[in-house]
Amino acid sequence: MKDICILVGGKAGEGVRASGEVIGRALNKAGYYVYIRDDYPSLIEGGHNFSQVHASVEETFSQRKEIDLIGAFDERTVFEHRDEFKSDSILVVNSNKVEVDSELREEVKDVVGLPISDWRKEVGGPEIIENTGFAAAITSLISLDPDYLNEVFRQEYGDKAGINISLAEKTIGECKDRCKELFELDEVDEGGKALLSGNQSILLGAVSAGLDFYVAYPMTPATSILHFAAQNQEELGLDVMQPENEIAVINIALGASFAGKKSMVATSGGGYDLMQETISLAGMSETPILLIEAQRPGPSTGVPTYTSQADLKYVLEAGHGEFPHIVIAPGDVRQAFYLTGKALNHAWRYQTPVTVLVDKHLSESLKNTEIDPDKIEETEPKKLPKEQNNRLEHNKETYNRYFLTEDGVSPLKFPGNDVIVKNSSYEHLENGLTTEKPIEVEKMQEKRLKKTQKIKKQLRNEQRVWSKETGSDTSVITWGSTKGAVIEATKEIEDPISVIQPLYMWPFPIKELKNKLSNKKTVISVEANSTAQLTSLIKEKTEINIDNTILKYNSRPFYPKELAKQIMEVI
Amino acid sequence: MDEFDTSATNTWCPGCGNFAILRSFKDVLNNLNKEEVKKEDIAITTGIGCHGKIFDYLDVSGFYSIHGRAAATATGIKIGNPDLEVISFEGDGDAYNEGISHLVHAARRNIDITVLVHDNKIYALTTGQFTPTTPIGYKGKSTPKGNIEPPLNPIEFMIASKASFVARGFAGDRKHLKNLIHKSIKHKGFSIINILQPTVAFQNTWKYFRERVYKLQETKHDPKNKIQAIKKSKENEQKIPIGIFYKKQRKTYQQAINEQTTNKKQNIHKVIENLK
Repeated sequence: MKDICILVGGKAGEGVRASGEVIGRALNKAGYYVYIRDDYPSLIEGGHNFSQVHASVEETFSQRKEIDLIGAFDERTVFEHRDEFKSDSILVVNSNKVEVDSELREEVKDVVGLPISDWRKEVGGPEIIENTGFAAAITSLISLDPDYLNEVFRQEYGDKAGINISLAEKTIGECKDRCKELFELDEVDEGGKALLSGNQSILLGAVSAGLDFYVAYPMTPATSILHFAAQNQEELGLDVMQPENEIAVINIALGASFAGKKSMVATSGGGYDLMQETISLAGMSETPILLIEAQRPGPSTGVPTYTSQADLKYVLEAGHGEFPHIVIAPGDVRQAFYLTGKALNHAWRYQTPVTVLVDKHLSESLKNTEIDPDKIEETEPKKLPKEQNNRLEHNKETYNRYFLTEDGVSPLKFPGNDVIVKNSSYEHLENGLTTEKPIEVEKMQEKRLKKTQKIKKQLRNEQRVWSKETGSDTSVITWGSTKGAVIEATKEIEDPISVIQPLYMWPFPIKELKNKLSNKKTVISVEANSTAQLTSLIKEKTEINIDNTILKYNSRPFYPKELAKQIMEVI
Repeated sequence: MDEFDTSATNTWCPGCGNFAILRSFKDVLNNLNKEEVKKEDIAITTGIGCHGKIFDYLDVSGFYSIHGRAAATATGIKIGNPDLEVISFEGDGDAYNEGISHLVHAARRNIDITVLVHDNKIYALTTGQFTPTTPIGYKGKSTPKGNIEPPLNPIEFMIASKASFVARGFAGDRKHLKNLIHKSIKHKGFSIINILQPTVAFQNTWKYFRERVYKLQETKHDPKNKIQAIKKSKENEQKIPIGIFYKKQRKTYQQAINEQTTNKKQNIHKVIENLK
């Protein structure tokens, strides 16, 4: 078979997510393309968590709902996902904990009951490692070489891997004999791709562009950036800080940027709300700052651990007053890596706030891809002409932080380098001192406008729209993480329809979209919000009306098959 | 003309306590200069209000921040470049209302910055509303029948927040204030001086404070004694002590970080390899 959909489920605290990740990592090592989505409610222990692992010989951008192989840690998992089982599904349960009714046994191809708790007691490990037993059972049922699994254990658990390996050996030995038929995935060459989440990718992209300082307050779904940064702080050469609240986060980050450190903050909608006043400060004081907004369903607390794309228009209007604010929305881990690198560079090139807008589905889902830090170049901020710099350093001239230039971007220097640098939230003169004179106010507003124009002009050279053109006169337009399900959905549709995904939300790729949309007869927009925000942005910027919208706002991501059906209904 | 002057025109009200704070600070900068702290190695942050104008009157690097956030901005600058001497000027509204959380946590983590609070017990620039340090009964535009909220005791509060240097100054005693500011900058760790700053336009308290202030250093007060310091902080009606209430040397935020991160050497390829 070309691909397989695996689901492991159980209670929070049982290591469900880790189990899914171990399975995914073993498949990644074997060379398969992997996509993992984790679903968990907002609680610490209990409830129902599950991890969907989609592995394929071809690149996959989404989880799937139809399950081939299920690992049920508890009875609730069987009950919750019963609709997703198929007649050829195999169900693996811990027979010490789960009983399967005869009716269900009829519905699926096979139910493999394994006394995983007994085996775990035999090898003498803590209860949590039963998740390892499931990972071993699942990988053995798809005939994966156990070496890949053991390698993952050694990588993830280091010195403690032994106990996991023992339980896996025991499980694998017993498992195959108890199963009627195994799955056989088509063979592939060994991989070499990194399997990572959108959040990990974001941080690595920023580090590749020279990130020095990461500051954040915990908020799902951005929190795992903080964890990844803290865990790898030394090897990423980062300062990492968790201050008292999001207002402190962004003001501390801005202070550090002023001192010359490339800084990044990340949060979700609520935290971004708190940062608003300082985004405006960054615009006024022309202090570079990179923000990550990982959306979750709102308004307000909303549905904290699930996904949504409802903050687009809000983020575009962030902060009071008029100043340039670049907004970029990657749609997969690879785009997240390269575009976050670019985003940090933009912030420092144009000395203005830049936001990377993602969502839970991209932030926390894992996908394997090739990323190369060396392909991201680090932008140095605009320098003073050498002679002028010399005069400055010999105290013969003062440094004008807001020196008026043709393109509005001033040469940037930092305090502590023999210059006086005055950054200000007030309207200011070129030297940074306060002014309220109309002519000076106008001059500075025009300076910021010039930067806006410069950004619009220069970013025309960037790839601001991703698309998969098939020559069809039907196209789906989408943005952010929804791109994944759209790509997978198009694989389900016989007509090869095109997919268009704007990457830059500001400056908006007006011309590119007009070009791409002009020759299409049918355009369908797909978004995870209730008001079709991208669709209305396109209307506002390009005057193109998109009549067909497929919207989902139940806090769960799109699934390829259901989406394909909806697209087919439109066509 | 002083080397720390700028071309900006001073717009504080004649007779305002802010002038004395500015003068004292410049004197400190001149002293620091003699001690080989270069002018360029100073960075200030300011909040918003009358005090914030000091940004324009000092030829040193700085970030004119927004209301309440100057301590957070200062924290970021210090982390960004630990070699800078970072001083944050704030008003009583900035420090104790809008941005009180930043003050508490900056103190607790002992980040090596100095906070100078221009405490005039009023929002002056917005024409005289009560702040957290305004006495009960004060009649202003937002409290025509008198302020009903009991004031905060900044000294007691900052000691409780684990600040490692807590002092009170008075704009009417420049020599004493200058000495205090110098010591607070030299202190390794978080330091704060609550400066009594008469504001002639709304509450002319020059006389009130002159009659009441006395110097802690002239008493037997021991700044290492926290209990005594808190006791002293409650003395603020008939007699008002000025000087260092509490001072304790402890590990700074930066020192704690340096102890933890010993092997900072970038190897992003290794991190990516671990994800393969």
